[in-house]
Amino acid sequence: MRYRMADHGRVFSTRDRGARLLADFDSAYTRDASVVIDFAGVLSMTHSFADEFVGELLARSNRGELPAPRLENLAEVPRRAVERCADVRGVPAPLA
Amino acid sequence: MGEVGVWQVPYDSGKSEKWGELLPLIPVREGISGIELDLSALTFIDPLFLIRLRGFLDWHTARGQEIVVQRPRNRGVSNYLARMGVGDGLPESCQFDLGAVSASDQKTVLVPLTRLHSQTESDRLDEQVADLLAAQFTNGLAGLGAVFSNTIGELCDNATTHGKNEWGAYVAAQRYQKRRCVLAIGDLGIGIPAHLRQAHPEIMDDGQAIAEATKERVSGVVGEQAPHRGIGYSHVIDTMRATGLPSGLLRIWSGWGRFALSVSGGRQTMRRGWDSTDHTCGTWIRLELGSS
Repeated sequence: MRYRMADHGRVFSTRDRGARLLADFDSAYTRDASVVIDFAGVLSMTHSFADEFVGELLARSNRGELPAPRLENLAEVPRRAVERCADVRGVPAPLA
Repeated sequence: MGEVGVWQVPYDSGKSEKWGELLPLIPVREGISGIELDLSALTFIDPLFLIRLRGFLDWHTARGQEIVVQRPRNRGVSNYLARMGVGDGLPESCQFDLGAVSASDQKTVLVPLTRLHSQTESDRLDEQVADLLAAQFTNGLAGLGAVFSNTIGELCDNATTHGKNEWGAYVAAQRYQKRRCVLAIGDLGIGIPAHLRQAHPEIMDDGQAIAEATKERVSGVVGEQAPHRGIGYSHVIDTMRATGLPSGLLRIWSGWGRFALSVSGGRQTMRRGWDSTDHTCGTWIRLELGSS
């Protein structure tokens, strides 16, 4: 499964939006063996959004509920947001 | 009918460092039934003054007060207020005639006065910022886009969640020349110190409370979500450092507390929280970014 962030926007800010995107991911996920989150085209992402969306996916993966999502095409600043939210949650971030 | 309060705003109150002239007006003084706000001497409007002015009008009209605002004599300043939408959608109890907007170059307005009441409006602002990053944060402002977008995102998230209130959050941003911009975000909600004390009642000083709230994982959120909250302000400050920001000044007003942090060349050069004698309802933030 490849989940393209660019289908939803270019800038992502709020925790609420992170929660809504997570619900959208859940509705699209069909228990595929691999999961790729593609950040191509994402210009900006706050730490709060990243925590609510990516952080929650990483936490689920850490609990064995989801294959480790591969995070691709992250620009420098959004990448830093993902690294820090993974650090705060104490889970590994499988960055490409 | 009770006493009508008359406030004349000095000519330079629109400048950020002088805007405190407007601060003590919230909450309203007891016994006042109407307000006359005289802006006639204003010669400059900072984005922070702009959002604070609208917050002032919303706060008092919601309490049944009649307000008459004298517009600035300076036509350019008056026209700027009209273009930025400060008088749009005011209730009938507020008289604020700014006249017709005359045609003017709006390329330096990054974000006109915007009120965020819902998540849909926050999503819309995200796309507005995406357009800005491509259109405005090039050349002289190229190195400032990451800090600008992260700050507006994190702080609007705070303002519409922790600071949630009936008026929503206020945002405005302006570019000056080619290498400097100012972003202002505010709300009339609970304020940082009171919110933080929900989880940290031991923090008594408001200035200290704001300073603590800017540290990683210090939050007013309680319960199972708490361990991974308290990351917004620290992320903003971290981005200012990590991107090697040439020049940045973050200032926060909330409750009795004040906070200031400056960055130069990606290095933090000042960080200070302190108490003031003027109380500020809600949370008001001003971020000034420079590329040289």
